[in-house]
Amino acid sequence: MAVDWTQLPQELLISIADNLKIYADYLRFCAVCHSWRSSVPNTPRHLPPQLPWLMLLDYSDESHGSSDRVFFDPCARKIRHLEVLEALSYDTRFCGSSHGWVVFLDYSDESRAVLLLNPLTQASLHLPPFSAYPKAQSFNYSEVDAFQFTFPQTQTLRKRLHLYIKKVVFSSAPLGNNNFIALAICCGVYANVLAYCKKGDETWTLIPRTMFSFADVVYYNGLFYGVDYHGVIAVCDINGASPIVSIIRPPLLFHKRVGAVMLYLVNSGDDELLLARRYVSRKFYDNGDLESYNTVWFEVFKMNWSEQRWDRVTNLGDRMLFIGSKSSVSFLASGSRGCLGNCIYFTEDDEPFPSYYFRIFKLSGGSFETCWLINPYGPSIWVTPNPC
Amino acid sequence: MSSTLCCSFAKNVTLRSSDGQTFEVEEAAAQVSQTIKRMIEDGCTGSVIPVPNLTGPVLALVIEYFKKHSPPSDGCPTALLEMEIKDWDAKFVAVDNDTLLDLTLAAHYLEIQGLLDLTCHRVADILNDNSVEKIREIFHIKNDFTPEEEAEERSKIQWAFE
Repeated sequence: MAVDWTQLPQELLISIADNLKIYADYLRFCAVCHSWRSSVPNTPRHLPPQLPWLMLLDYSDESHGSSDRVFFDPCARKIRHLEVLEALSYDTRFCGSSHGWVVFLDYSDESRAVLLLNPLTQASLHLPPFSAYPKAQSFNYSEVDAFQFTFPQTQTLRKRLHLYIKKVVFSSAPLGNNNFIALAICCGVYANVLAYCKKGDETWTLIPRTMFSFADVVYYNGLFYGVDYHGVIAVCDINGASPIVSIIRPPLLFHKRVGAVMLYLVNSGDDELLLARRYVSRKFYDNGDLESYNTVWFEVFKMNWSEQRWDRVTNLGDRMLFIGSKSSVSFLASGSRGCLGNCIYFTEDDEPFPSYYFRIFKLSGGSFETCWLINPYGPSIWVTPNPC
Repeated sequence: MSSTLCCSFAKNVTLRSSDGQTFEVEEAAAQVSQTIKRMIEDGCTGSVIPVPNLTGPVLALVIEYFKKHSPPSDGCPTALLEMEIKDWDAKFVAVDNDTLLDLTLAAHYLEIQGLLDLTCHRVADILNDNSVEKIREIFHIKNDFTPEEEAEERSKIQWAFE
C-alpha cells in the first residue's frame, strides 16, 4: 500500500494513542510528527492514574526563587525536573495531594491562602482561605467529644482550630468537575476537626461530630473517611446539602511494638480501605535532643465491613503502597517496569531532619531497602502526575 | 457423517483482492467484517465480493483471521478456546511493521473491531518506552518539525524526553 504511518486516518491514530497508558509515552507520540500531533487531543482523558512521583521541596538558599521543582520517579529511579511557575514563599508548605494536584498553604500570608497547583500542567486555582473559616453555624457544642471542654475558654473557636492544617484531600481533580469537594484535617491545640469546601464555596465549613484525634483522611467510594490513632473511623457523606457523619468503632488496634506510631489510610483502588501503621524508633541525647529517627516496622490492615473490624494483611500480593503524611496511594506493580509488589514505598517525611532517601519496606521478610537521593531535601510528597 | 453434513450446509463466498486474487471463505467467517456483512445482507455481492483496498497477501492474512474468529457452530466458546485464540492473536500481529500497517488499515476498512483493537494495541506496545527518535526510525517517519517547533513543543515537558 502507498500509505505510510504518518497518513493513518485520524480515528486510527486516536485508537493507537488510546492504547498508550503512560503519560510520557503519550507526549512522545505527539512529538513524532505533525500528523500524529494534530490527530490526538492535547490533554489525554483516557489515562489511568499514573504511578506517583515524590515531589521534593528544597528550601536551601541556592534553590530558593528557582522555578525548577524536583520530582523523583521511584519506579524508574529517575529524577525529573519540572518548571513550576507559581512562586512559593519560604513559609509555603504542602498539605496534601490528590489526583495530581498539590495543595500549598502559605503560612506567611495572613489570609492563609490555599493554592492548588497541578505541577504537570501549571494549572492553578485557589480554595477559600482558612482565615474565612470556620462557618460554624451548624456546629453544635453538644455534638462534639469531651475534648472540646478542655479548650481555653478565652480563645474563640476559630483561633483554637486555626493553628495548623494537617492534610487536605479531594474527591476529584478540581477542574471540570462540579462535584469537587475538598476536605481538611484542621488541628487545634487540643483536638482536630474536619472541614470541607465544595466547588464555588467561599468558606470552609466545619463538620459536626468530627472532633477526634485524626491521624489521616482519605476519599474512598464517594465518601470521606477519617481515622484516629486507635483505628476509629468517621465516615463523612458530604454529597448532600449538609454532611452526614457516622462513626465506626472497630475493636481497638493495640500497639505491639514500642516507639512512635503513625497511621495512614489508603484507598487500594480495588475496593479495599487499607490502614498502614508505621512504627518509628526515636533515640534521644542526654539533653533531650533527638538523635535519630528511624522507621522499624510496618503493619497493614484492611477494613472488614461486615464485621466492622480491621483485619491484618500479611501479603499485599502485587500491590504497592506509597505512604506519606500528606498523601498515600496504592498501585499494582504488574506491568510497570521497575516496580516491586508487596512493598511499601515511604519517606520519613515527619522527621525533623532533611531526607536523603526514600525507603522500601518488603512485607515478605520485613526487610528495608534504602534509595539514596542526590541531594538532601526538606518536605516531600507523593504526587500522581495527571494531565487533567 | 455429521461433519460432512455440516460442511455441505456451510455457505461460501468469494473475495477478490485489488490485484485480482480470489479467495473462497465461509460466509459466516467473512461476516466477522462488518463491511462484508453489510454487503452480503444488502444482497449486492453477486458471486464475487470485491475488496479493492487490500492486496492478495493482505487479504489472505485477513482471511486467516476470519477463520480463527468465525462464530463457533456449536454455541458458546469455551474458556480454553478463548485462551487459545488470545495466544493466536498475539502471534498473528507479531509481524514486521509494514504488515502491521497493512493489517491496521485492512481492519479499519473492513470494520473488524477485534483486529483493529489488536493492531492498535500492538502499535502502542512498540511505541511504549521508546524515544521519539527511535519511534521515527522504527516506523520510517520523517521528522517534519523545524528545530524551533521541536524546542518550543518540548520546552515545558522536557522531562518526558529525558
